[in-house]
Amino acid sequence: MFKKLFQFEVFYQLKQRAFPIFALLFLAMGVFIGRQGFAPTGVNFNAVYQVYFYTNILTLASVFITMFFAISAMLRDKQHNMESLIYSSSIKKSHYFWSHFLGTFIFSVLAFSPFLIGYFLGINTSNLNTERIADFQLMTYVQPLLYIVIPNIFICSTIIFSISTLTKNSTATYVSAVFIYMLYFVSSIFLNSPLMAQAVPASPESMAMAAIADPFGIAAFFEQTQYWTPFQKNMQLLSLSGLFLMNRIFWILISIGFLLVTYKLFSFRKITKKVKKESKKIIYKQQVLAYKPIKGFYNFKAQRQALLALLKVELKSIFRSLPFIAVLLMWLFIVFAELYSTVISGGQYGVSVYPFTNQLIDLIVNPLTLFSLILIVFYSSEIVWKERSLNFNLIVDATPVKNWVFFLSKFSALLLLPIILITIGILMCMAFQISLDYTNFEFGVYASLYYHYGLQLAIFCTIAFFVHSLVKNKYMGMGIFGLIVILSLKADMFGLEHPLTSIGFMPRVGFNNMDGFNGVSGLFDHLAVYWFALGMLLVLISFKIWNRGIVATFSVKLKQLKYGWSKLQKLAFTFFILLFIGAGSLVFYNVNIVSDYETSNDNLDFRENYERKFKKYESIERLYVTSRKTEVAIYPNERNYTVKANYILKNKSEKPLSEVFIHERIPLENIAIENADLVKHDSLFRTYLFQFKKALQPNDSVKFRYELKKSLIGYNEDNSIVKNGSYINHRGFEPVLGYGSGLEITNSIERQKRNLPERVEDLNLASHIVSEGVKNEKIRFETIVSTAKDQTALSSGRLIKEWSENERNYYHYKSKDKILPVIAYFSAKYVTQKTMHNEISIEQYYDAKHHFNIDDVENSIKQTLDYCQENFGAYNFDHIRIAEIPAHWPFGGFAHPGMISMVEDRLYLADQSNEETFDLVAKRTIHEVAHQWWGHTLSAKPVAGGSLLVEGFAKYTEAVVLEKMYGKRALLTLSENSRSRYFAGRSFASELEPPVYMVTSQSYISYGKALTVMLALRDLIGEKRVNHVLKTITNKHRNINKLEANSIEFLDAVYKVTPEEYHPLIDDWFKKVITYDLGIEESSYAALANGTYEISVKVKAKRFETLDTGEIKPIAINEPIKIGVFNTHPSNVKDNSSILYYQSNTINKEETVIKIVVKELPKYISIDPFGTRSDENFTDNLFGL
Amino acid sequence: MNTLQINNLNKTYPNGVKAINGISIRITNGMFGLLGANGAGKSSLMRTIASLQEPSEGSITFNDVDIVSKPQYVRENLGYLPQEFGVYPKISAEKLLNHLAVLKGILDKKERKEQVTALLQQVNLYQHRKKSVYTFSGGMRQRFGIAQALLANPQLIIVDEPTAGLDPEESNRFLNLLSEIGESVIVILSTHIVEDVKNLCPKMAILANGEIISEGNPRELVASIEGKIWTKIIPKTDIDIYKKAFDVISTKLVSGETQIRVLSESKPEAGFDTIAPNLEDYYFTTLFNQTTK
Repeated sequence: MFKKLFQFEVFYQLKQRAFPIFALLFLAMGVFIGRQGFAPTGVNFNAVYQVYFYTNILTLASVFITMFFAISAMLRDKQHNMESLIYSSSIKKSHYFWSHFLGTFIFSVLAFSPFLIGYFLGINTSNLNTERIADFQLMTYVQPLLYIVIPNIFICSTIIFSISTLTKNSTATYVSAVFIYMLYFVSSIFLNSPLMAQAVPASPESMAMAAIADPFGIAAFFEQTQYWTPFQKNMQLLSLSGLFLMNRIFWILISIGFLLVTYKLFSFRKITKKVKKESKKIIYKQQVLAYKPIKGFYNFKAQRQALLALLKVELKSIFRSLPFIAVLLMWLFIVFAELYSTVISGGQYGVSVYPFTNQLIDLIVNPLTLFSLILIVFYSSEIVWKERSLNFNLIVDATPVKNWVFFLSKFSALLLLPIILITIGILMCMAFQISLDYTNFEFGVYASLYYHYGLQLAIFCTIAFFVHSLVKNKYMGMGIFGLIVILSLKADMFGLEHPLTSIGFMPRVGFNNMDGFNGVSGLFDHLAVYWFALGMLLVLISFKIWNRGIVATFSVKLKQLKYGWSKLQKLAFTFFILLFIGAGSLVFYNVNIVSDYETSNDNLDFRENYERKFKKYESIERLYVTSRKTEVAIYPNERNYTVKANYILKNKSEKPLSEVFIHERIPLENIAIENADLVKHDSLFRTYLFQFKKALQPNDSVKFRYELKKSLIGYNEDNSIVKNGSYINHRGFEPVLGYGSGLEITNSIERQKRNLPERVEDLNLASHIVSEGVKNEKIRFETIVSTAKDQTALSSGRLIKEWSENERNYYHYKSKDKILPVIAYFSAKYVTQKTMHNEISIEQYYDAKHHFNIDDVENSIKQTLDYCQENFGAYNFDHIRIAEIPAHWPFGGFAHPGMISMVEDRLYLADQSNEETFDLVAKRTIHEVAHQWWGHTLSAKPVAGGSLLVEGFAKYTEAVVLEKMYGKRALLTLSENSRSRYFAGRSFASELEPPVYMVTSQSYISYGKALTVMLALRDLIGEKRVNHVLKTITNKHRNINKLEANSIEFLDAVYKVTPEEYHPLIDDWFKKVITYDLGIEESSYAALANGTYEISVKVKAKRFETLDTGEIKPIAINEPIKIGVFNTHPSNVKDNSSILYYQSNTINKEETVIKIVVKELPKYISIDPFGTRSDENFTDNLFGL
Repeated sequence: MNTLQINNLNKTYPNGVKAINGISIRITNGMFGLLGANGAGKSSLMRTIASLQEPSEGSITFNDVDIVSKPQYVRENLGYLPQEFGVYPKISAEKLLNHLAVLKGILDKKERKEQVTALLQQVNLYQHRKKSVYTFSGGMRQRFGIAQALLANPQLIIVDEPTAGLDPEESNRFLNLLSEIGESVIVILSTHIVEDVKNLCPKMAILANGEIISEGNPRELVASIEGKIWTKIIPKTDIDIYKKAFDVISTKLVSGETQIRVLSESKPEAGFDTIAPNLEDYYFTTLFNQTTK
């Protein structure tokens, strides 16, 4: 019997058109994703990690399949009124139940699995780089199927199947699917999932919670693989252990439980509605009224009343429906979580940002579009097809209500959905602001949400209506519209680029507190008109073919569309067509004609031709700038600037030079080189070739002049020149003296396609660190920078003179000594705070509204100057200026010579009002001030290892100065951050991880591991000796104009002050890639007779070396490591009173038992308590006694 | 006087089914009965008249206004009860009827309330007015459907199988109400219960395969077969023999015995008795003639 039933189930589901459609769809998705070849650099396209990643994400979509099969399995009998027949037959409950469940489960798996086949086919039929496709391994595909696909679909099936069985209600079934998603979303918020934008890394505890709570196991997968290096991602299968195993077991048990309970509860009877007993027979004494006809009205007023009545019905049913409530709750939750995590519980380093309106709305706009689109996809079909699916349509459609009334009521109901989400988001933001005593609401900024985000959603609503009025049934409409949404948001993946081609290309308009709305607002406005016109056309068409009564065939609709146009409709149609074409042409004109429109292919062509034409000039020696004199006039309101430059160029080579090749960045108005003629000018590639009248001899110099004007044309944008807060780097306009190899195409496949020779990458060899000759050097600098009369202009150098003329302010700056040529020009409506500190003028330039942290910044500058001058030698300038720049700059701050730029939201808006929070303002300030030594005084050679001397030393300075200011707890925050940055960074590293002394562009080393090893060095030889080494090499290079300092020189100086026995250890830290696994396995203490306490602790210590192949190998350990005993948690340690014991112990075994005697009752014991070793798992270092 | 004029109406569905096949008819005030078997095209015809679907060919005018090109006019004058319908969940009968009354253009709140109350009383739902129609039983829901069809001031009432699922008492009440209203408006009543048509309708038509195969006053139509219907009690096993030998229009069980009715100009054979034909006999005769044609 069971067999027969199951056979029928198979037969039935197979006959459903949905099965082959789903299977094909997932096959196609697999092929598509496979062919895309997205993989982090260094990871193979078919690496186990990649297959897991995509399979895991895609199983989110399996909910839809399961939902479909569950509904068709359990609700079909009810939908087709077969229940009574089935239930009265001799079928056993168990047979019926299990055959239907197995049908649902197996068919869901079968419909999903083609994805894996598709992925395999996609990769192998693509033209991806074959070097990054590993040999086929069956387990690569089978393991994800076993660990992810089957369990996930089982979990989804049981939950959805149970709900659909118990409720016999399709809406409840949808809701259960939404609920499963909700679990996933919540988990991914807790976890730093790549799918959700999250600035703050999750704590291990919340990560563990998320890993268990996520029914899809995605969080658990990320938890297990978060620190995997590319090598591991390529080679390692997932291990069924730890949180991942717990997640799988937990959810499978829950599912089985669900299923059994459902089986128990499932009654093989029709669900009967609870019959309420008639309480009492009330005798109606009311007089029976006779029926008499009443004349109806059909005027405008009647239509308006009907509109309101219909809208009320629509909204009531939406507001009461579970999916809406579920999405709304999720939205509230996400908005709350986003706001809370940033403005209350703290963002980066646990520091919150002041709740300026733009800061808050930035946090909620990303999920806004997603959530609104979910609502629109689901409710557009619900709303349009509502009466039809209830079978109520014949009655309402026979009423004298006009089509436009029906249409408008439904359309407004849909339109209200995104409006409701936006409004709720705004109210939440305001509630947060009020709770934080912030009352400058900036309603204009809030209102902009409706325009900048709401409009796009409204246009999606029109598309939804259009689709639903064309198709024959609700699910088809939902599917087609869903596809349109995905296609338009991902249009760039299908080769579309032009902003007119997809509504997904509506640009995001930025807003920051200094400069207001900025960015692409011109383009946005014009595109808004363009899409609005299209939306209105779609509305008009869908209105014309609005279904009334029985759904008409396509040909009938076409007829409907052709005839019966009223004058008004014709007029509107013509108007919107004209508007559409007009706005489209305007965009086209500005994009393609005013500015040079370049597709990415055009761009590649340009770069190919540039290389072919000018590569020959790469070999000629360059001239180097030794002196820069400029006149820069900034016109912030007109958003342009002009530059007049006088440089001195020097031949630093050993041969006479006869030609100079120049490539302009911004069109030059004129250019001239002393004693040289312009022999070739290519206006297309914007290159110049000069020939000397008489060859320029080695060490001879010539004058070089140029003039340019930067202005914005078309929709071109430039963050550097804005109305308030211009920040122009000289690299932004200065012509390049030589062939720009940066323009060459780097993608090797693209190069092959274009028959370009393979690019020879510079080899990163240790021997180059010393031998490489670098000709860059420090220069003389002088500028006159001018700006509008209400702004202040700044640059590097001493302020020599300052005057006003022609309604403009002029400033003349000149450097005392030679400086590194990293120069910028600033202009904004600044207020200033200046003070003298030991003959150094500390000057701050900032926006009047952003005054919160100015004193903190000043204090931090003083502390840093004092520490650095004492420990690293004299300061190079008689001033230090810090100027605020707008939040559109994507970095924290930048150190120019004697002049620092700091970004508004990262420094000025950080909320440091609570004394206990980490002082992020001090950290950033110390870092940039430290660069006046590390970079501007000790100038590193731009070769491997250079950034250890620049960023690594600045991080070290952060640590020592912050420790002085706040105690060891600040140290812990810093080292913890560097540690996780290192492990996260190396897991996505594109190339083999270099050791610290060879670091090039790997920020996870220069900002991460470099600090860890510097702190280890400090523990080994002491802060004094480290600082002595730093001071020695700084003073050595102080007066050398060439950039020569390097990491080998630093290490040699370290060896000199370190006992010989520790040299191998220093090599392990700086010259090898070594990771640790330290931890405390167990510990206990006993009170001794003399009132002291003896602690016994068993520590675990393992070391691993990452070899050149990427393989990770355990190695032996023998080194002193600090063990600390505290009477408070290490993150609260302010001074020595909390530290009971803090000594280095030599650890030379995997397990060591140590006995320690302390005078006070110990609370915590920790190995390496302040993070001086690269240890993936830091939590087990601490043990609560 | 209202007039509904149908000329050469055809409706072919996309799957090729010809639901309406060249119907031409003129209907004026009064009850008009539409008899036909399941699938004869009754509902298609009624939906087309109610402007809920477009005919493939032909025209319909109501009071000389074309329904296809100007559906608004007929909608303003229409009361329509579809054969099957559902409703919004969670809305009480009173509220839903009130909602529909708004859609039908009754703007005055008091008038609306009065008519809604009167209709709920007429269809005997007044005591259930606070309950959701969604939870009503089939008969109650049908009564609600009747009430909504009478909202406002319909001049053309189309009711598709209105008495299906009603008990005899309710059915009587309703038909009485209809015939009262039907004196001054057009009421088109589709049914397969021959008795209802006989009792209520001065005019009727029989529909088969989308065509009108007979049309007229029920009494006159029955008169046309006076003396041609013969009946006999036979053993059940002989049915096929009789069917071959005579024009058997119907067989029926009467008190457990099989009674056949035969159409014949003269007495077919011994044992047959002549009886006075009723509308049912006429209906079967027409259908019989249709199939043997």
